[in-house]
Amino acid sequence: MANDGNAKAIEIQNLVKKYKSVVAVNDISLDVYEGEIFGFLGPNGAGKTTTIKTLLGLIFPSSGNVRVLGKPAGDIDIKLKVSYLPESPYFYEHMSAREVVGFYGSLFGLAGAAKTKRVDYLLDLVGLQKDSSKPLRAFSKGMLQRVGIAQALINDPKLLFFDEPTSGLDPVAHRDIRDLIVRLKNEGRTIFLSSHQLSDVELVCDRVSILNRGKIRRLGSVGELIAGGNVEIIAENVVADDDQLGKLKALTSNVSDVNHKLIITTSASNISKNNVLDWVRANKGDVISVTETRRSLEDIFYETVREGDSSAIVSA
Amino acid sequence: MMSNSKRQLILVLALLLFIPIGFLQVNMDPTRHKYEPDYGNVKSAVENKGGLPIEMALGAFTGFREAVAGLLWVRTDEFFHNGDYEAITPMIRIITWLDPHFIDVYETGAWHMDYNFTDADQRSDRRYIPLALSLMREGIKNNPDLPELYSDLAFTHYYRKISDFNMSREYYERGMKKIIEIEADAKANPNDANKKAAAQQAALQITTLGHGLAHTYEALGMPDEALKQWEYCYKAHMDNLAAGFGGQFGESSSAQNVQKQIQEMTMRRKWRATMTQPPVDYKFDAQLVRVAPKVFEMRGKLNSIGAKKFVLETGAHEWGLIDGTRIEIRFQDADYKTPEINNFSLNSLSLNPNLTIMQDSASVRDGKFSRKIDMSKDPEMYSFTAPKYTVTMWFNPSNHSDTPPQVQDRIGWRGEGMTDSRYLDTSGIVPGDTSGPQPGLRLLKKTFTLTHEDVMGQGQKVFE
Amino acid sequence: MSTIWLIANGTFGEAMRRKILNVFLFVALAIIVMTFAFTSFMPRQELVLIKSMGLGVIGLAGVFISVILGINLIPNEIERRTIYTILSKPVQRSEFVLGKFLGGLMTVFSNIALMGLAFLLLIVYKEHAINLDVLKGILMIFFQLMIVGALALFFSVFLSPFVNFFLTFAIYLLGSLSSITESLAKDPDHHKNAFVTGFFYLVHVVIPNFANYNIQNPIIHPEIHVGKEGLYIVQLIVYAILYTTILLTLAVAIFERREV
Repeated sequence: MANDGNAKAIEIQNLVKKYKSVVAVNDISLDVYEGEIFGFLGPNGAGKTTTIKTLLGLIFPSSGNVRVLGKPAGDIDIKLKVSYLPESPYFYEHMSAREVVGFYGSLFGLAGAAKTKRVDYLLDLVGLQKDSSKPLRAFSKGMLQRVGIAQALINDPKLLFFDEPTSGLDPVAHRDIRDLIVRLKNEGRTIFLSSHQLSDVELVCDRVSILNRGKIRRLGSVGELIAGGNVEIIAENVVADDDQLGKLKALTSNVSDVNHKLIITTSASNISKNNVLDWVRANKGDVISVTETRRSLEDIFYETVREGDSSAIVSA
Repeated sequence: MMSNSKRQLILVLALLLFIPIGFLQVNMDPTRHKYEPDYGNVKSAVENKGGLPIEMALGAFTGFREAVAGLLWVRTDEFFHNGDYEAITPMIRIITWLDPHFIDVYETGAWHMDYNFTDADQRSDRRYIPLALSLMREGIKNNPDLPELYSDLAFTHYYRKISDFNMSREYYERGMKKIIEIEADAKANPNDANKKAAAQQAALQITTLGHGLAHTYEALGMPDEALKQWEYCYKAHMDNLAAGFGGQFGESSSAQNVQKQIQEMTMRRKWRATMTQPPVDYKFDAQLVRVAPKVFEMRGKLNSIGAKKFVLETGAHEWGLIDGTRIEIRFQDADYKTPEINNFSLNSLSLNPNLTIMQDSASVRDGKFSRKIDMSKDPEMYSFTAPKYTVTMWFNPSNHSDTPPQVQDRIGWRGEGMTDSRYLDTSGIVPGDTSGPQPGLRLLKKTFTLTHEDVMGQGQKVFE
Repeated sequence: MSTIWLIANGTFGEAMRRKILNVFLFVALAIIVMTFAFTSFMPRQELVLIKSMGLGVIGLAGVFISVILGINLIPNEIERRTIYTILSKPVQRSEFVLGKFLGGLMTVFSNIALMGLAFLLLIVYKEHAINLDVLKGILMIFFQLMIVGALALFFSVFLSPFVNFFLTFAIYLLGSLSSITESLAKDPDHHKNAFVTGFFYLVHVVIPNFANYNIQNPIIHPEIHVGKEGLYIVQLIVYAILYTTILLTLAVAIFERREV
């Protein structure tokens, strides 16, 4: 992606966050550019929420530097342009959706007709106009999530932090919110999206980072990350002695024999593909099919997480 | 986010505020003590066995101390009705520690101690008297602005219980002074509603306090002062009437009563100056008879001459033997003298079980008196463990309950018109009092000394 | 200021709906009414009991309400994560702390006012006159509770509610027993040991002196008048404001660095 021309919305330099004996975030550096949707991925406990809280000034870095919209995190001026939707948000239960959103509006100095208008607009946007007067105590999780989004948009923010915005939602709501996120981006906002929902991230994010055990393991555009799939070659009538089989195994370890057919998987690069095809021909085999298997973000994610696990074992 | 230096500055400033806090606290302490009980003593009461129940102790140390005092007082009332006297006194002690302004408890408590803990024949246990006096004095110390407390101590305890008119006069006069002070203070601060209310309340004490002082002056043989006091009272009642204090009926009937007192007093002062001389011989004699162990009979004679007929206006009179005088008897350990208790602790409530004091009186009819006194039914009150006992029988002309006015018309307020060839006592000391000689008082007094054997022995024995 | 007010209002609205606080309120009201069952005594004794019990119950219920409220105001926001949405808005942490306190104080005030009103009406019914002295006592209870609440809130920025509950109560009791610490400081037996004397003196001067606020004695005994009462009441109010200022300032300074 051509982000180089855009200003940085978030700069993270060598961020470390330690709790007593645990290193939650271990020296991460990351830039998010204005106008992009940045997917922030990682399993539970990877350090995602810790990073977001640091960016919002809710907690403080043990070392390293974070800047948001060009200013240090927690600066009151930035908060006018930033918003945050926490995971499973909770609001004052005794209030109605209208009151809660109005309450947050008041914190930005909204009042009178301007406030009413903005609140109405947002309730309509998230589809709560009908239930706007019920106390939140009667709301389902999905409805609360919509209230959360409405409050997050109250200040017409430049930068939004969404922490698991679609968790626990029914499929329709899920798609609504995904669409909304795209719409927000199209309005020129920057979105920092932390999520488990890999399919969402894959669909909407411009760039993605995968965090595991406090470190960034992958960073790049979705296209870059999922590039470099495998090729599955199926061959028949191969006559090969142990020596020749040894040669094949040197090319790829992923070989199986099913119903006298060899199924050989190798990386999608031309060299390794041709090497395998050459080997089949040299051993008088017939190539039945050559199929390229494209990887999903999910594959990348689990691969990354597994790497992290083994490296953790090694380092332990 | 606040910078570190700003944050540190704020922390220092906040901590510096502890200086004015401490200063304020020290300044407030003296006023605060006026609202508080004597916690040192309450604490010791809590620690003392049989003292304060723990739940009450907890209440006592938080915002509930008056409630605790009130509840304890209710419980004390139950004890009294059940006859559980021993439990009453510690309660009274603790309640007045908890709530030093609970006036009812001082008054009722001291009254219980002086009058209501009795033997089988309704004679009060005189071992309590020093405690009752001490409790009342403490009540006055804690509530120096309430004239009714002075009045109560002066009358109920000194005047009526032990005929100690010196002390009665002292407290009545202090109470009078207080009334005058309170009234002057209210006059000086006409806009202070509290002071005005206090003055009104004080003004109404004239009926008890003012009259009581006049009677005490009479008992001390000071008719001039008594008259002056009655006149003061008359004026005070009229002032109250004019100011609309109290019930109109009460004040006007008090004023009438005082007017009558002034008339009688004026006449009596005039006649008694001459009628009481020369002294008449009252020919007092008394015998003590042991009937059985710890059971005695007092008997004897008194030539109680008084005015059989007396016209106040003309002074016309006719002398004769008058019934209704009383002979007091006091039976006590030989070396006992009523002690003064200044610090009334819970420990002082454990009465000396080895101390025996008994006081009673017999009325004189046709010049004779006799009364059986049985001390065998109350071994706890009358333990008789001392080796020697003093028994005193006496006639006190200054005491209104022992000497009717028509007898005083002959012998005067202090017995100045009375003599006796054998038993006249001019020491002025009334047995069992606390303040020493009462000036000019002439008693007829006969004292017996008994051994332990004399008290416990079988069969009849007459002591002369 | 408007931010503090907004947060206070939100806090007040939520607190008033918390059932646990209502329990104390209803229990207190029930006890106050029950106090009127003491009818078998002399009228003077009865009033002594009613007034004393009434003020005591209002004070104690108030302490429970203030402590329960004070220890939870901020931890609840953290636990329920409402604090994230609030602090990510243009809200200073100091405004948040002060707003929470103000909201809590409004709640305590409403509760005390409600109990006080009920109590006052019952007294009017009993005495057939409006007794304004009782209001003085209730007002002083309120200022006492202001310190209690600030104390609980102060501890809540760095202690768990569980620990805080016991600590605040312990200090409340200690502060209520300040006469004892004072008499210990002045006890002639201790004068030999300057350290002990100094310690008790420090405790007396530094620990919030809740015993100061027990001014009900003359209210219960109308015939007693304490001199300089007006000045004393002013001093009590100044003391409460000063002490609350200290606690809130410390709370803000600590909360500035608190991770939520």
